[in-house]
Amino acid sequence: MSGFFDTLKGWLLFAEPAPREQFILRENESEGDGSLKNSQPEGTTSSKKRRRQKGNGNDAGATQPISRRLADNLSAIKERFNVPTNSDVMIREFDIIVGKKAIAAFMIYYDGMVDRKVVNDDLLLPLMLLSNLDIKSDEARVPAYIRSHLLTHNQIKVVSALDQVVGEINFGGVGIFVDGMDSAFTADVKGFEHRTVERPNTEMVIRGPQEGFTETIRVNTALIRKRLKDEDLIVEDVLVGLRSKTPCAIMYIRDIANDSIVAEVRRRLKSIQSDYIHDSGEIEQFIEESTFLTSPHMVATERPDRVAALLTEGRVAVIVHGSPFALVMPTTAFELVHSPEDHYVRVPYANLLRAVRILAMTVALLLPGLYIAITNFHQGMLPTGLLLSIEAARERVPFPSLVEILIMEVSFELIREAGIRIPGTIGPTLGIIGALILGQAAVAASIVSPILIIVVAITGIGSFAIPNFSYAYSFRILRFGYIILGALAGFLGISLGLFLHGMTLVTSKSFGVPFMAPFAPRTAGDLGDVVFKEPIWKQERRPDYLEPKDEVRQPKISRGWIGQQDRGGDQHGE
Amino acid sequence: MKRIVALILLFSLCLGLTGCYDKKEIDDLAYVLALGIDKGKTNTLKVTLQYAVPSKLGGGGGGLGGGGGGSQVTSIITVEANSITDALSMANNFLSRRLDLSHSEIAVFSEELAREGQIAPYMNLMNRSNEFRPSMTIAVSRGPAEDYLKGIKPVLDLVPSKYYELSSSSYKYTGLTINSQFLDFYSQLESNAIQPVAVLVAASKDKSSTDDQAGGSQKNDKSGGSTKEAQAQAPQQNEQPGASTAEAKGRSKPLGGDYLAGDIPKTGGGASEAEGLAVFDGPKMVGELDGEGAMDYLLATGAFHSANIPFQDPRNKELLVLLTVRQRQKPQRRVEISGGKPKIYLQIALEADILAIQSGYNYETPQNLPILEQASASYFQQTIQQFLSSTAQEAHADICGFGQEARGCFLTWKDWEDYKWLQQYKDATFDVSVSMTIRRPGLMLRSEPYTSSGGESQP
Amino acid sequence: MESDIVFGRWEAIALIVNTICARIFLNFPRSMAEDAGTAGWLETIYFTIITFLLFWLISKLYAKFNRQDLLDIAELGGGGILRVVSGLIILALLLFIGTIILREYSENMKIIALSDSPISFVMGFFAVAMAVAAYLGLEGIVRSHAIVVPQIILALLFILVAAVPYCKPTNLLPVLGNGGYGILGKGFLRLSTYSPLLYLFLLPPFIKDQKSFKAVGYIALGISAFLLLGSVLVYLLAYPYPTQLEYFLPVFQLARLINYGRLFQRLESLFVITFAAAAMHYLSAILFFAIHVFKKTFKLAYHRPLILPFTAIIFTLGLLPNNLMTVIDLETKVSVRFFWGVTFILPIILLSLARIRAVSGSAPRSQGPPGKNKAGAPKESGER
Repeated sequence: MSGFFDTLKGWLLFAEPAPREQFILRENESEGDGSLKNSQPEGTTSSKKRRRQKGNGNDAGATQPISRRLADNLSAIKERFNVPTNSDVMIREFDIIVGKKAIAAFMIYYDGMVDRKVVNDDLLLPLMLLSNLDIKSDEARVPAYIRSHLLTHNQIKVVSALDQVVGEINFGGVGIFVDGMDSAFTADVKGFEHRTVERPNTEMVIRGPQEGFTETIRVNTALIRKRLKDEDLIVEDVLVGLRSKTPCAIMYIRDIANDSIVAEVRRRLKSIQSDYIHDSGEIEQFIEESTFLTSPHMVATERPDRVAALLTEGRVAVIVHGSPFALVMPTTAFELVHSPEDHYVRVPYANLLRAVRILAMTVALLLPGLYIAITNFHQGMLPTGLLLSIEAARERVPFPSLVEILIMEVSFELIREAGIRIPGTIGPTLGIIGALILGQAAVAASIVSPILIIVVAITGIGSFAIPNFSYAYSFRILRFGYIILGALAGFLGISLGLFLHGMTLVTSKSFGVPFMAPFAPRTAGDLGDVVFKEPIWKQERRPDYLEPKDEVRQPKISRGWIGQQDRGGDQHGE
Repeated sequence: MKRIVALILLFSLCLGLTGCYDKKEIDDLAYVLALGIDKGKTNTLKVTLQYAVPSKLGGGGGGLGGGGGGSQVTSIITVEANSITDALSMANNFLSRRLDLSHSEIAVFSEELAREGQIAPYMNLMNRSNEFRPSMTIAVSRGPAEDYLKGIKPVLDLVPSKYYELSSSSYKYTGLTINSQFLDFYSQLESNAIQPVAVLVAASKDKSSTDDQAGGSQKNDKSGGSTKEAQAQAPQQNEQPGASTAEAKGRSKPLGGDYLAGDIPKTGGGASEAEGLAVFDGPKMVGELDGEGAMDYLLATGAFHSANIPFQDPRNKELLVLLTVRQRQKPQRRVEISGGKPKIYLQIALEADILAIQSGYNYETPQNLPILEQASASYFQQTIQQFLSSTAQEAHADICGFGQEARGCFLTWKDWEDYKWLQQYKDATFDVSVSMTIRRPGLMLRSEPYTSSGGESQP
Repeated sequence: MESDIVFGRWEAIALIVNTICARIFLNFPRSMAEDAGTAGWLETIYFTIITFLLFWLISKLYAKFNRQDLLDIAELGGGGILRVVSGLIILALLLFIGTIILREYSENMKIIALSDSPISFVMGFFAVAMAVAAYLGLEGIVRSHAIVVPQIILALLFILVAAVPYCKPTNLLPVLGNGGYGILGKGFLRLSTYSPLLYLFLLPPFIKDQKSFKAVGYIALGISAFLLLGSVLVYLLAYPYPTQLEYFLPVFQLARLINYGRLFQRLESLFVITFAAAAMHYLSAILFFAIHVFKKTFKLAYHRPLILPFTAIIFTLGLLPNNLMTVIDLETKVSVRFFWGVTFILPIILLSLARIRAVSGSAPRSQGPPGKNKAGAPKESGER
């Protein structure tokens, strides 16, 4: 009883609010743990320089040579690969026996990207066990000897520049450094999973890669890494859950993503105190800001190509072991309506698809509410012929139209839910068809009018056309609110609903990014990919609201085959 | 956040207590499609309502049950009351559903009421209420409006609303009726620069398509384009349809425009017709014009779309040339006030396509074409000049709205009001010029003569 | 005084444009026709020019004060007393306008669509919208403006364009309408149409700098002037002179004219959504500013507990007038006659006073003009 009074008092009287720290996205300030901060400035510039050089084509004369001292190489490698933070880099140190001496060596590779059997049998085994070097102490011939006699792998390269080693390792190779040699060996031992992964179940595209995540975290990170062959792609391991100790990985690109977003994600993940975390859905609910808002604030996707594309824009991905869904944050309302196919398909089709999706969203949300509002309050709006035929159809129906539509909507939801449990892949299809047949029977029994079946069917189909299924759920819930509001006061109720819905969307934030950016607040930067898609060669900047470190994605003329002065267009330059 | 949720929940609870007002189920209403207003015997008005009966339309149960012609889909009731809303209330004493006027397409006043100037009080209701549309047609019926409404039995349309919508836009291709919408009628009533008109309708005299006697006064002495006070005669039995105004205009055979509504010589096709227009001076009807007058009105006001018009062949008075006439551009109207009297200049530009040359003469050549153009232009010029003179001298009603251009001669509203245009209009002189250009001859470029045993003959 | 919230230009412009143009949906074109007859458009041009001149003057006077709104300037000019007095005047204006708008829009809804519902039911919808928006904060309100106001403008332009088939150029004759007194004399009082410019003077703490402030003012005035002129012109062209004076809701009447073929008729109920959206945004802005002014005038710490009481006050005051005619009468007598003074004369007085005191060196006890030196102050990801 006293709890009830306390709640009532809490609502009516004013209590001073407890200050809560809101996460505000700062521009290009680096906050984070100390190690990153220290190495930040030079790392950024050197990686930028390196990137520019990388982009200038194959540069045989690379900058950083391999030193003879193993310790130097080791520290250089550790710095390049951010070894303590980057957890899937493996460094194996071993000794090669040469005569009586033991020459130290180490091997570096990405776990999950290499075939372990090959590494063990063909690289480590001969070097460690069979390496009875019986030579004169002629240093110059040691590399040749090792290469031609000891390393029993079919693709060995001897390189003398660190960059080349790094490049090989990034794509599933292994680098072997030996003390005293100013060159290193690289071997191609790719062993990451490919094509044993299946199609993604929830996001089907016609044109585009058909790989989806699996449940193993290393496989998933490798799927992304094989698309972004970038050593600045950081995979940070975090263990979540006190008993389950579920490995999660925070992935981001170091010189694009804003540090404060990364730090915030890290902070929230590390502060989860829970027993058992099994799925990325649970992680999502732990780290999101507003639990009761109907739209999601992170993109949950099953496609590695989508995650890779979003990472290059400056977002952060969280991969949870045991779940094929990766979470990408922050996101805005407009991204939830994008499908990966938009990028792979040509511009006219992509815009048609987007227009259809916008229509689908409107219909899924508003159509039943508008139908109720028009037929109960604004009958004058209908053309007379349509009005009379609707009325004729409703003659035998005993219920008021509000009850009718609620019956049909609820039955539709029941059928959808039941359809999930029908075994086999025909389940959902059967659900829809079953709904329509049920509707037809209901019409024949004069419980509902035929036009209502059409309304409900179109609404249901519209909600399926929304690419992000949790966003579609939000529309399914809010639809009922609009029906009630439409029945209360016609268009006035609908506009109240739109106003409140719009206000809550506009004030919500996803990891510091306002949910309706870039329209509100109106940030600088082009709107090239927000509602409708501009051609790909026009998208030069990364989204501004993410405050990335490097805003420019591609230069103004990104199609080299067009001359420098050309602005695009047809053969006459127009 | 909790507070916001609490607010919304509290609001919804309050709404639950009060319920939804204004929620009218779509099948709790009966939609009135047409309204007829006559002078009542026992009360001020006799209101006739034509409303739709949707259950006759079929459409439930997954298929269209046959809806049987247009007549069964609607039903007509007549109530005597002292105002329109009172009539609705009284009607709801014996009808189950609430009558809703938001789909009424046409309001018909009887000529009796119009001649006495009794229409104006009902205009106020129509303007103020949210239910009447501005685009509703206002019509004056020759004879009781009840008879007209009872005679509406559309053979082509399932629902009479489509009949009304389509026939109110028939002026666009016949040129024999006008576009008489409520908004125009109302604002012209109040304006001191233009006077209102309304389309004339009537029930047909054709017995084969009516059940009861179609009343209608016979108008015999009508000069082309002129208006006189018509004597209202008692409806006679066994009327001969087909009383046209052609003789008065000096034509041997009547053209399509020489009839007034109710006089069209026809059988079948429903018992309701429309042709011509009623001329009002303020709220009082002062005369009628036949179909040709309607065409002149459309031409002078620039509302003419296209029409197929027959002319006498210049070379052969017995035969006709048929042209499809359109407006080339809107008419140029200018008003000058000289010596306190208005002088009105009207320039009409028309273009036409040749539909048929009954005589077969080769008018299509560039030498002969001007003959045709000349003849048709002078035909139009004569009829429009006569029409305008009669509006000024006989009816004293500026229905074409030259006052709107005349306003430009004054600087402020007060000056314009003091000039009293409507009273000065009767002294107006007109200068009408029509130019006609014939554009296309259809599929044929020339006609060859017919042959017979008597040799070739120009047909 | 600075504020944590900063919003960009377009949001401020949308806010001001919506508040000025919400009047269009109520009775603006008809008022022009009542004053000047067929020369209503000339009257609009006339007082728009005067407004531009006055705004230019005020923005010049504002040049010294960066990011300080009217109440701060009042404090600079005359200390606490002047602040309280001007705050109370502004508060009274805001409450009055809020009440009138709430009542008129609810009557509007009732006439268009919901004729049987009690007025408190309809007003309840708007009141809930106001209160919830105020709880969600100013950021949300202006962002919502930034997204929705272009759509409202588009809908208004659609109505105006769709009425063009009914426009007759001769309806504008005679050119000078009701003559000089009608245009110039009554036209001057109509400056009150631009009285929402007052909100602009309350905004400087939220806008980044002086240049933005001026740009916002001019652009907002330009857009509103265009819309006001357009609506008056189309209304005068579509309905001939004496008939124009009759209608309560001019833009609704224009929407009733939309008639393209048999299908697109009677679309006017669809515009209920537009009118309601404009009203709800306007009312949330008014409520928030009223609370904001109250808080600043009396230097309170929190503004959230004020939301419910103010909503209740506006709601109850809105129920006071007996009928719609009284409301329109009140609006003509009070708001048209006096509000132009509050919007333009009051800021000029306050600014001049503050300037005089600043020039004369007697720095008052409140903070001097800050803002320019505090580089790197935390700001949200607003407009770059």
